[in-house]
Amino acid sequence: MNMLRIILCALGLLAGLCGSAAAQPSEYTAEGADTCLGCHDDESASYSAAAIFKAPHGQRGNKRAPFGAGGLQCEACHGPGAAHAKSKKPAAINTFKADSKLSLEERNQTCLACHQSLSRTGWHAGAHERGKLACTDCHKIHQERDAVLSKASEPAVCLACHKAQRADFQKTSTHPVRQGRMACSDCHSPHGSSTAAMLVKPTLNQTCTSCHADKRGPVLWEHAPVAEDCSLCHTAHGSVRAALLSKSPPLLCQQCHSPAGHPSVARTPNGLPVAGGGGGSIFLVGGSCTNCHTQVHGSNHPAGAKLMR
Amino acid sequence: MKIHSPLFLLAAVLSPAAWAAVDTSNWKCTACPYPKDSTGSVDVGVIATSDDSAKFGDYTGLQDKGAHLDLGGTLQYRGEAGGYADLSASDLGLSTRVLNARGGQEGLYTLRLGYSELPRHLSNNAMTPFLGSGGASLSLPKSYPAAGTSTMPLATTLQPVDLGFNKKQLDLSGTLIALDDWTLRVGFSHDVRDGTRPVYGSFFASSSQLVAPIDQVTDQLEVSASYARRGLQASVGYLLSRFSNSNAALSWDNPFLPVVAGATRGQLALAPDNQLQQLTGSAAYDITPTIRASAEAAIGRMTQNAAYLAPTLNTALAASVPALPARSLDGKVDTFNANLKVTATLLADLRLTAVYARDERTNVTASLTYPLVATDMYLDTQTRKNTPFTTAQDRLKVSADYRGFQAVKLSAGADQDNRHRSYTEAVTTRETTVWARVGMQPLQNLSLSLKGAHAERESSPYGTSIWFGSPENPLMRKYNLAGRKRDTAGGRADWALSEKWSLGLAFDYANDSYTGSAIGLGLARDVNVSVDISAALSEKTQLTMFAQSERINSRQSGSEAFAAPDWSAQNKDQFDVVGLSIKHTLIADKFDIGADITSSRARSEIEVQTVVNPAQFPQAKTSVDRIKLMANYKLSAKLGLNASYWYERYESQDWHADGVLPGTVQNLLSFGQQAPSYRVNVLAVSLRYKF
Repeated sequence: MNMLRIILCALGLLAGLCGSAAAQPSEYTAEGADTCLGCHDDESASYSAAAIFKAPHGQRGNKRAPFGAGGLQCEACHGPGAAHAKSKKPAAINTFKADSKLSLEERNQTCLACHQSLSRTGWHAGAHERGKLACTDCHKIHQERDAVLSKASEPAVCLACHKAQRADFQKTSTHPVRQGRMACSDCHSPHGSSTAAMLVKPTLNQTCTSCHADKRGPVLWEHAPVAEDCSLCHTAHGSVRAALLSKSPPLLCQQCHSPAGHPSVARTPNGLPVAGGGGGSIFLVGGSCTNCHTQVHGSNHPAGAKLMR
Repeated sequence: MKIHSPLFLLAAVLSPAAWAAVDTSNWKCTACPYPKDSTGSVDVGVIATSDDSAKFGDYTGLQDKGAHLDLGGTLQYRGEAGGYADLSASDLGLSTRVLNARGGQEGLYTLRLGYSELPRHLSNNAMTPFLGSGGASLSLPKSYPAAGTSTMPLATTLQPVDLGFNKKQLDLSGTLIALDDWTLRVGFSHDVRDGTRPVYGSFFASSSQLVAPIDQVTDQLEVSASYARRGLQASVGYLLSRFSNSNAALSWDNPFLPVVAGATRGQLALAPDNQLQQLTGSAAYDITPTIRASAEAAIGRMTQNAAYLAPTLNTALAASVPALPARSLDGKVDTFNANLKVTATLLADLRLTAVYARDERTNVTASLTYPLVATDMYLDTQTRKNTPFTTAQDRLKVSADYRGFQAVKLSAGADQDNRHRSYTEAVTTRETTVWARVGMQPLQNLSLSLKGAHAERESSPYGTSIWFGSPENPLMRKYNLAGRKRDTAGGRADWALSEKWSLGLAFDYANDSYTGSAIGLGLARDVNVSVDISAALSEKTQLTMFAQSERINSRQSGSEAFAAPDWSAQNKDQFDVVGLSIKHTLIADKFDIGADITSSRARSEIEVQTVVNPAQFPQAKTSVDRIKLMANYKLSAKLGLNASYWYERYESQDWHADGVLPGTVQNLLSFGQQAPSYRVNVLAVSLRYKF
């Protein structure tokens, strides 16, 4: 295998194969955090040396935390800092910034060395890891409160990249994300999962019914799309119409229902109320099909075969 | 020969286990500003709302005009030995109140308590003649029934009714880290929903909008144990979720003159009590430093056995209805979900990934024969067997990521998605997708990414499944079962124009073509573009702006003649939104101001083409303008003044609702709700005291 690497490098086809982890300084500071804080007393909106002592990493009573007994304090994450303390050059230490001497993978590995719990098992080859996200793209360590860990402020972090969803949450009907009452992580597992769209539950329907348990069933008369996939009728992030529907009835229903008789009739504006009142077709206005077939999520009524009871 | 990635070596060096090798005897941390014992803050203020609006109050709790108490606060305790406690509360004066408490011993155990309320406001000037709204039985004044809504005594019997419910949730959980590598967690949540929602109840082709009660509780218990060390993580868990509904049914008087004898009262089934139990397990293991495997599995059972309601309340009909085959469904659905993922870094910059997943929903409920009673009016001569749907899905994904070129990242893969369904026209579908993605950084300050995918879905021979006693048009292809070609593309550019300015551009495109669907959905297309600009105008001023536009078009066909297509419909959804956010520091560490402005326009257009003429529906549209201004002024080291102003204009038109009053449609007694519109100003002033 070494021979193969040599050949590939020699051919110059895959130059990156020849790379390796950046050489790391190995000497730690003489006094740990006291050395660091001698210079790093600056404060900004995104960085505060002091704020970390109010956050989990700065807890001295936690033996697993960098500032716990025997912990390497600042250098647990930033790496051996003697060279940096001496030269004052950012390049001499892991700054966790994009221009850090360490590669993104190496910076992330710094976090994953400790944060290897269950929620991170899906990180490897997950969508965010593939998208070359750094842990610090979402997490702000040097803040008293990491915004991405709060239900109210988490969506702003996610939507900075997920532009389509940012627009969705401004639409006519949405989940209460804009109001800060629902977070992206209520449905999605940002550290990766093997489900489609990195859902927190094994399937979309299990994710939806973890809150909408009244739709879970089973019921006597199931509506096939409800049993199969909520997204056949609903669009989870936002819709320009009510109830997160992907299309308005009756057209939504007529995409699947075509028996002879009223389900197949083209509903035109002739079915709208006339000016001055009156008119209007029960097949079109109000709830349209659901005026009668109200139990679209299924019915447990013995006479509910047509979802009317 | 094994290849040891430098990353894994790095992980070993960085892990806490390696810390002991460093001499930290002189690391006293005397300059470390550890927080002293207890700190906290109290927020007290007033929120003034200019107008009543149920729509505005949905999720915000600000539905009523007037003044509201703004009360909240935080409390933190940090002990030297690792004991800690956090308490936070917000919106205590509103129906959106939230309370969270957390405490424990850092690195050992955590206890959490959470309580939250969330209001839903679903009505805007709803009116109903029914009495008993909020209960399980609705009655009508004596002056009912009538032949149609135009002859109903609506003027004297309509009453305003508020629709909506409050969601109250209590969460309790605890986490214990034991034996270094083990984490035990138990969580319990109690979700209560109390209020009303709109439903419809019909007798044949006459229908009434009804107020249905909501009095539901969902209790959920989750217990898990997980093990994690470098190279191996595993977990097992158990979930119990119980949904209970205090109301099994909603019954109502028929406001329309009964077409058949006895059809004077109907009854709808409400969501029955149900339960889910699920066992979960997962494991991830680094087989070698470059090969990692992970797997998840869940096995569950959903059950429901609520007693059946009577097939009809029509006493004239009840005697002729055969006995039901069972007193309750005894419904059982077994679920099985499993996946296995293997990643292998074959060369330093080439990684291969394979994922296989299987999801089963097996409805093992008995399929029995039931008499068919149509809306408390008729007993059909035919019977109907329930169709417990079973679905199974197999997905296989293989992909490769190559990072060998310094400024270019390549990914490509192929997915196959096979689905099997019972009681459907097409028993199986198979969709194959190929995709590729490239990310590059042609300039130091410019990153680009492009992605594209092509998918083709085919189905087994499409048969005819009978629904509601009538067969579907043989030319119908349901869109989840139909053959489909899907093309997607997307791109993104992030350009740091200067130290102060950056520009982001993004687009996404998706096109679904159902070429074999003569009846049903034929085409669906979604195009989304966005522009983002951010600027650090100065050290004191940050500015972000964005504009986004989306177009969703679709075309479908139908047949009134139950033959070849004789009508089609085009649906065009448009959504445009622009936003601007600015933050400015007037006085450093003392006085900050900011503004968030968002304006959106949503439109939905439908054109139906029949043999007569193309007919255009009125636009359904929503326009929202939202301005939020904020100012925070530090009066002293401990006291701060926060002020905000929020203006929101919401205007909507929806032909489903507009002009449809309770007496408009002869056979539809509606609430008469119109599409909502409002203009609301909210002024909030509060003091924050820190201690």
